Amino acid sequence: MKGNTLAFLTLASIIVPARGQEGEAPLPQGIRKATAGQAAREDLETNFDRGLFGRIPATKPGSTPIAWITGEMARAQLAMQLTLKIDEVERLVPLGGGEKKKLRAAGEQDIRRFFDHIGEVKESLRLPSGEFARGRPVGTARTRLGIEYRAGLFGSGSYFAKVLATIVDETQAEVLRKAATERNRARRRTRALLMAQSWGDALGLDSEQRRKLFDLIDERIPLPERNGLGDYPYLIYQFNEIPRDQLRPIFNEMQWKTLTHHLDQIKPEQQKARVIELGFDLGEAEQAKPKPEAEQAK
Amino acid sequence: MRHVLGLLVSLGVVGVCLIPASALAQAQKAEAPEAVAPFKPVPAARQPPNPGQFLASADRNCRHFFRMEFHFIDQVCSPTPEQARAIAGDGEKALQKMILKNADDIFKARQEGNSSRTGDLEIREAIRRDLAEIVKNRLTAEQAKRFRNETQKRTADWRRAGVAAIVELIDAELFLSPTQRDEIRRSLDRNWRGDWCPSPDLLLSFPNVSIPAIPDECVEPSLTVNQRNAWKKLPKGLQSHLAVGIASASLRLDTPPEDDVLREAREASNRSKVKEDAR
Repeated sequence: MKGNTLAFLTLASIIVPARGQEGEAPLPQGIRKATAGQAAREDLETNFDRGLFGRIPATKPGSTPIAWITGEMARAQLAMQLTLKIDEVERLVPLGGGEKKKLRAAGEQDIRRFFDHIGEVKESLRLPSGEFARGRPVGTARTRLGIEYRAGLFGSGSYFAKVLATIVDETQAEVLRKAATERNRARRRTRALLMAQSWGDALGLDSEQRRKLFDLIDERIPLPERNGLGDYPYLIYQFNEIPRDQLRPIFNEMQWKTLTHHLDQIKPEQQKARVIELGFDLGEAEQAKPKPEAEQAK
Repeated sequence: MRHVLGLLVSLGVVGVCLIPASALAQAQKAEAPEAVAPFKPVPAARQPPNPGQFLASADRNCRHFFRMEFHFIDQVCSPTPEQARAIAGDGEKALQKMILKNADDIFKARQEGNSSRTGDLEIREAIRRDLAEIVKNRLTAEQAKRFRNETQKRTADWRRAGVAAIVELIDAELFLSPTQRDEIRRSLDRNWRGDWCPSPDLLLSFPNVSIPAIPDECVEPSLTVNQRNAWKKLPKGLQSHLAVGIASASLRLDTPPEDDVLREAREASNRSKVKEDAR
């Protein structure tokens, strides 16, 4: 009896996997493996695009999102942005037909360059085995491209900006600079508002404390020109650089305990490396930092 | 020899256990459309979930928001030790109900296949409502007034941050002029709806959040013809629970430390639960 049971169980362990494969196409083992690998690779690449461009969200609570934004859709959206960017320049400085054409050509080159860059990044994420990489390098690359995409492709360093610089004179360039500065200031204030509100909730700050926190962030954390939403790592890095004795007066004892516990866990060098990795320009921030007292005395 | 026999028996048992998993994998493969080809490991057979499984995480979540709000009351109303104890005691009772409800909500969401929902925003709102009621009953009229004023300011600040962030999202797509930004800011403020920005954290921590489903009439009157055409084509809608959840979690500061009065209230509640169970 014992022997029969043993024989049945042993046989079952051999037969079961074979039965499990009955429905599959009768392909040689190597080919089947390659197909599965390819599917997984395509899946990871698709996920990369999805994470980068996002999706068309649901319009009613509880309903599912309509679709993912594809590369083609993103390209069309960028072409639309280019038209609007040229319109904006034209609102500020007069442009002739030829100049508009030049700007459009330059902007189109920026769009092409961005998509070429996506292709290069994806290629760099392909492992020697041909499979698509996983984990942090993928996330970082995607976030960095996402920030670039969201920040817009026609800012400083772009072909568009270079061509524009050849078109406008010094007075017109000043008008454009002022408009860019004003937009950046609005964005910096928005960041400060969001962060003061978010931390205000988390720490139980009253309105006066939130206002002080807002002022501090607005004054002390300059915003690099090229960035988009999603810059919390940058903000937290810069916030942590503010001397603690300047932060302390804003908070009560319990709030301070919670906040410093959070800040103490941040490793400045690692956070700095992360921020640079994400493509944030810390140069501007370094320049804008208040100089130490000894240096000021000199 | 006995060891070898034991090993073979074990192999056999494993093989039998694999039958349903393999069959399930085949069935899933047959049903899945070819183009999608998801690559998912087949989950091991599990006990069916029950709300009790989510009690620990519900407790953690609810207490996190409870302490946040308690500290807000403490900062705004400066309650006496007796008042603080009374708020903590009443709050603990409300919290217990909320923990059960949250565990049940998470359980239902999991049953519906929603693995990301934690109900953070609902918890926060419910805790704020409950504690506001307790403040009204337990504190002086002057303290309650101060609390009401501060909660109104908090809501207004939240709205201001939300409006500013949405204007920025629109500006990034449409290149608005300063006048247009002001006009749209005023229009959004007049017509504000909370679900446009369920959490400012979302707008701070994600690079590719979409523009909320704002009615065209709030924005279009301020736009040029080209901007209006672009606006119509822009993807707009609600942020997913997943995105909101991740954003809240990523920005969430550590759970505030537990004050003595909160700890006393929690321990008293635990003792009374033990007594009830014993009966």
